Amino acid sequence: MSKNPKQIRCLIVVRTLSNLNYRRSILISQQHHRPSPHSLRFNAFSDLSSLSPSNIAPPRFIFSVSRLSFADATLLHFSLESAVSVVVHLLRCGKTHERAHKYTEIDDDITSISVKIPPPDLNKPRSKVSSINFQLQIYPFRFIILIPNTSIEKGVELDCHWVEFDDVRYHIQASIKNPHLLHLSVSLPTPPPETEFSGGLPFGAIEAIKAAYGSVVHILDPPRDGFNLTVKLNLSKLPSLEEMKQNLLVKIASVREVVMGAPLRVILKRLASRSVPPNVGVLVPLLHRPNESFFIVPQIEKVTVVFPMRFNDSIDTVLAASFLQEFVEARRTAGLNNAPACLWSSSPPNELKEAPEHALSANAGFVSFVISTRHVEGKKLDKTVWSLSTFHAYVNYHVKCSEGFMHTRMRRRVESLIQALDRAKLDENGGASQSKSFKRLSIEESRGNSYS
Amino acid sequence: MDPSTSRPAVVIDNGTGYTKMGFAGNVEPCFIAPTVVAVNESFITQPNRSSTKGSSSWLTQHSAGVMADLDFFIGEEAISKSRSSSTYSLTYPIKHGQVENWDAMERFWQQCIFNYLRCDPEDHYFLLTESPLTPPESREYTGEIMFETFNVPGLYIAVQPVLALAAGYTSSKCEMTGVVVDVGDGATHVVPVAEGYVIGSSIKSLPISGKDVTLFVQQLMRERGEHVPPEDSLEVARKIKETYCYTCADIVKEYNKHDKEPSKYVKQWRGIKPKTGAPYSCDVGYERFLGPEIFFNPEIYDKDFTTPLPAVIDRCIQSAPIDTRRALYKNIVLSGGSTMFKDFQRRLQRDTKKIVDARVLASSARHGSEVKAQPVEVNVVSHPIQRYAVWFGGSVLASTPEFFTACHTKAEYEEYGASICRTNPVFKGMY
Repeated sequence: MSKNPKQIRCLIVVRTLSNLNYRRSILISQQHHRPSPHSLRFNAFSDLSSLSPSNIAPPRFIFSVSRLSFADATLLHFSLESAVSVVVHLLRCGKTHERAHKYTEIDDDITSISVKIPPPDLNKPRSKVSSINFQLQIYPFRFIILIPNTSIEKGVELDCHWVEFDDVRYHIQASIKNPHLLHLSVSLPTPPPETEFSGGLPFGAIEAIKAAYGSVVHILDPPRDGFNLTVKLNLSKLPSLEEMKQNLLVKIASVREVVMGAPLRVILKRLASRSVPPNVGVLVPLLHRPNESFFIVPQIEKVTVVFPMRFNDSIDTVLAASFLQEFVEARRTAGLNNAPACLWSSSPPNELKEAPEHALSANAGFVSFVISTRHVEGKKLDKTVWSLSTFHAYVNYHVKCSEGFMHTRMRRRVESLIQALDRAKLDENGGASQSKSFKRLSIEESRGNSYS
Repeated sequence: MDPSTSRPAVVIDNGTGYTKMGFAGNVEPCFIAPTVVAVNESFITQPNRSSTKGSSSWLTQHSAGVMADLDFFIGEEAISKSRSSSTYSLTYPIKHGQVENWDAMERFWQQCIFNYLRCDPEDHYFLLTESPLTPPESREYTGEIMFETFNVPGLYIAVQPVLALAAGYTSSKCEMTGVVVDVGDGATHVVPVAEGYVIGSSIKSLPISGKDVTLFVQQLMRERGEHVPPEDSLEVARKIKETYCYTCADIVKEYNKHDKEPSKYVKQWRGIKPKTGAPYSCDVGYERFLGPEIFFNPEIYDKDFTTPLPAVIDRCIQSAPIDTRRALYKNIVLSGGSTMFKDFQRRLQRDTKKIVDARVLASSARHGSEVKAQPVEVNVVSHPIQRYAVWFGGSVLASTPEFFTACHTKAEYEEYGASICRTNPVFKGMY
């Protein structure tokens, strides 16, 4: 096996109509310095013809390898005759791992197919956390994304209440009369006393909404009863370009991030522009969950974010604590050098010296992230704010997933134990009687016994 | 007071084909997603493939296996994932209305709660549904998962037909006596309910459900030789069933109509082959009315089962206590996605009425003219929200204040164990 990480070994298996399998393995180079497109063509099975039975000619099977650019995928083009199926096993040769991919194409009226081989992603090895991030992210509020697609055409009568995690409530209202208007009310969790609130909204929220949505959103004042914010969405003002429209809808769906993350965004923006914050080293509490806050310490060149983690259930607490320690551990692996530095401690860290007493009781410890300038550059800012403001839900999600995983294993174990018990059961007849050390009496026999 | 009682309860109706989920108090479920989980089992099922390659690959396999365990999707996403790559395999956790695969079910709920409804399960009471024939053990399992994994504060497991009856709650009178004809994707039940209680001994089931309509449509199209790619044909049949099928009054007349005016009745289906991307089209003809016809003439589909749905309903009501029968005939409620065919309600009412009238006529002929029987009123009710009537009923019930007192709470679960989930009291809101 080659140690060269930029080469891929492909095993190609072609099955012909006469039910014969032809195998051929090739090594494809994915080096970046080659002029592109580079391609090679050869008759793949010319050298294998000796292996096939003499009366059957090997299939004519020509393929070429081409690559459009080095960042792009490698394409394998096949043209073949009298083949039923082609299976390409892809063995990626790397330092630590190889993965087998399988591509199958079955169709009888096709004489040429292409297989796309993804580019080597060795720059970012798949470590545990990075792929968890990929798999199980907290998605924005996708219900909102769904509505405009249906409502613009037909118009829907809608009056829907919704409660999200962290006790964020929504009320969505639309009517057939004005299919372009959508009223969206948001209610935030009860703020803890230490956070800064103005007019029921976090500091800077109104400006953030205006900046994020522009003319599509109109803020209604006062908001509906029981809500902190009511906005009127004018769907006819959505951009006509599909991609931009979707982007804006996702943005509207992440309204909680825009509103609740507004103060955080202000601080991180300052970090991105490298301006010296007015409040260096001063602890800023921000609303996170009902009556809970997380803390930010802005400094020059970096911002420290501290989350006190609380869980209601004792099992959850234990799982969350170990998950968070694993989280810190995973950060140390080579692949995540660029991720924010992450620390976990069971006692309040130094940054929280000035925090109020009630904020310091966290049963699953304290997590701190150090966000530096490179995490908030350009488009990364949005992602960072979203990840930070949904952090608790993210951890909770994983805790529940781990519990589910354990239950799966427990069920499997129970099944295997039951199987073992079943194996130990004696047969109804044959073999059983010899091993029996007692004789069970039937009712008649026992009656006879007692009479005699 | 428990703060979670002030939040709307989460209502999830897990059907064999589709799961309806949303918050109580709303009129429509927020999501209707296929009940399917795509699991990445490539590393679990083929452990031997790379085991010969030394210890480093063991580590890879191990960590990939752990990852693969978190690597799953549900609903539409699952279907598209399993199409685009061969590493995911589809699992249908519910078969014939019963949960078969609890691992998959737990994952399904996981995604429902966190990814679709996006709520914290610790903040909400939950209302789940079950088919009338669910064994108590399965209810215990459900309770275990809900209380242990998700730490829900309260749980109520309602019987689907009762909820379907409760869906009529909004109309002026609330009738909790009736026969629910629940034709879902995986199971068909005819369930008599009297004053909110299911008459368990009279429940009748049919081996014909929505899935069979799909299969029958697929079979008809295959026999006619329509050019549908084989890997797509079930999906196409399902879509054709949902868009084009209807119930006819008389098969022979319907055949004539189709033959006379094929341009009016024969529809075109256009699709794209998933593997090659080439477009194709096929005709949709007789299967439009023959599909739903299997409920009324099952012999065209199944040799073994030949009792039509109206006869089953009649038998079901005849086996119920005599004092409830008139009320039951008066309120035959449709529920489930497979009752959505056009004119299904009219056909069912006509056929049931025919059976009842024949019996009344026979008995009055037997008794002569001295006893005059009062005519029996047969009424098949169809809601506009029939497709998710069960969910809607759940939403209505879970928004009443009595709901929270009828729930099993986490404290009770911890005190007595999963056995509390065996029974779910009928509460005041239900009648």
